Amino acid sequence: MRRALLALILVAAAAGAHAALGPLYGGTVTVAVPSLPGSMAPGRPATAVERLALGLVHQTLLVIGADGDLRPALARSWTASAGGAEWTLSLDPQARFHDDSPVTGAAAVRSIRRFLAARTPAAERLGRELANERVSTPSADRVLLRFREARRAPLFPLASLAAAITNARGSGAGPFVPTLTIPAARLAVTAFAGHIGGRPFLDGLALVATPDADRRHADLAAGRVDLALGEPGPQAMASTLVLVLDPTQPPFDQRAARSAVAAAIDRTTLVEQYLPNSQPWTLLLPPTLAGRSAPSPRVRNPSGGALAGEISLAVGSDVPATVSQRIVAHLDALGLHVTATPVEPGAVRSTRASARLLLFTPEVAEPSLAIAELAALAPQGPDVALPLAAVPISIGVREGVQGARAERSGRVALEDIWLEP
Amino acid sequence: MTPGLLLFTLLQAAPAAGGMEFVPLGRGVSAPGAVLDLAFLDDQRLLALTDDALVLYRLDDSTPALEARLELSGARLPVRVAAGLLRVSEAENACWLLTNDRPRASLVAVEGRRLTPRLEADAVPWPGSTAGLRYRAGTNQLVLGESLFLGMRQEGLAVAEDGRLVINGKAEAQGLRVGTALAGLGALIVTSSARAPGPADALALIRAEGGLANLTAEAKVEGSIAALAARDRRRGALVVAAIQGGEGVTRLVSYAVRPRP
Repeated sequence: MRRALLALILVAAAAGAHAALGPLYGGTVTVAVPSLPGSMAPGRPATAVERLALGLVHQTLLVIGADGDLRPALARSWTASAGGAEWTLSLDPQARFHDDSPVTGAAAVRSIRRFLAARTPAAERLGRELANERVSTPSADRVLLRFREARRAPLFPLASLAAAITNARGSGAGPFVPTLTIPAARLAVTAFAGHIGGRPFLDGLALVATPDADRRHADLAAGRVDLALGEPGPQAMASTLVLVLDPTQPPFDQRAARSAVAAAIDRTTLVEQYLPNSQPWTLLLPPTLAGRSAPSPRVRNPSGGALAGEISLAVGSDVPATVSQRIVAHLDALGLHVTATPVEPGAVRSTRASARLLLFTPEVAEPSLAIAELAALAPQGPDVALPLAAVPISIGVREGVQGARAERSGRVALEDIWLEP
Repeated sequence: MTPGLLLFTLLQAAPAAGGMEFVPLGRGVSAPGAVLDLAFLDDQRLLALTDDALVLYRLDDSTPALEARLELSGARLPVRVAAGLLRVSEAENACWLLTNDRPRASLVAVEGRRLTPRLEADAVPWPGSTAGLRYRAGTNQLVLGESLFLGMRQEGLAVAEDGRLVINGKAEAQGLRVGTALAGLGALIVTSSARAPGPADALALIRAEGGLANLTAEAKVEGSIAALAARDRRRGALVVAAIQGGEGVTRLVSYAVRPRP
């Protein structure tokens, strides 16, 4: 079963493989994206493009591999002591920031403290588990985390992009160095020769904001761009489309009303008509983390007018408009008068509304952390959050571009891209 | 008649198109790691450079049999794809080795069944170059003079940074692209294909005349060809290919090169 689910993650051939001709170094590519992040500082990415952009520039101490286990990054090893209550990470001595300064224990501790203060879901988990002394650097190349009690696997939160390591001047240690930012229009980066994984194959790349999905599709098809986020290509089923109902507000304070909504939405039609490459999904965890298949959706199609009243619907702006219109139509058919409002993806989780429609991509691709994040999203119980579809994070690639891949975290990785001659 | 002349004579005698063929000599043996380069030391001995060792094989019956192994020491630099090069000095029973994740080149002597490091240098000595041959930092591109190459052979063969075949310092007249693995075989050239990484690759036998390359034989292989060595031996021409399969396992497979019956 797990193997079948993992097969959903389409990953391009490993760039490290020896080959007939390639990988080749050099060249630049242009990537069409729906929008650009307002800030390149480490943080919890709210959208696929934020995850992509932050992953270009920043590097974490640890990353999560394709098998779901932690892998070295800026930290090359980690060990437990005190029966599992203390964990020490040893930094890779070759790790450097973009300004060529070494990645030190002091920089790592400062970055972890910044992460804890950011209070992202993963940071809150780590903060709850840490003892009062929290984080220290016993030597220049080590970081010590002391926990309240023995923990078996407490380091997963450090794989969050919000926990990326920067130095005091704000330099990152990711595979690319930002060189040009035109707000809301263009972000250009160049290869970082000192990256811990080796210099990227490309000399540089540019993310170009192209809000219109049809335009992105046309630009890729015409070769005006080399890659386009959201187009079919390498993908990971890393997101779940979720409708979250507020049980403190009528009519969703009634279990029957929530059940009526759950029964009314035809997931299969929604996916077939409005969400290409997605699949009907009845679990809150996305397929990359669910570890099992979702039960088949059942639609009872209750008679119209089962409910009455006015509701507000906050819709994440990364949810396709046709999808939200379809959901509004379902609610309308139940007898509800819906006022839908687009909300920034990063804000929709905390927006107060009768219902919220959002794409959920876990901050960290680890099941227990994702479940905790979902619990925070819908603290009143599981029946207030209705999973509707599993949605891929994908990137379309023109012919001749090799090595693009989507990770189980939903991060589109571009550092292994190379160009055929 | 020398072996090289013998093969060339055989080739001339063969039909112009499809006159030669690669004949696999068994399934081959597993290599102890990812192979970066191969080179014959003499008719019976083959050197394989892997990502962490130099390995000596004996080839009594065309199947490589491991004879010695030298672990490569020293600090390693981060690289996204490993690359390496061997330059054999048959007269000195030694070889230079260079990898892109180690800062210096090494000369290793072959003393019976022992591999002994002799000295280190900033670059591999190369004819016609005072600076020698080295890797552009962090890449799989070899720097020779002002030019960049993906593969380089002592016989005057090279693969330019864009995959074009270079013969005696000049790009092949038709702009033929080949894979990064190549080997000289008398008057012939053995290469891998210019296709991108994938489940399939091909061995190609090329005859170059007047700066033009003509494909003389081709054999499909499952996996990617990581390195090639070729030798025109008294008992016939032999090609050894390091073929990386889908599971990441590399096999050393021997091929006879002979006129098509």
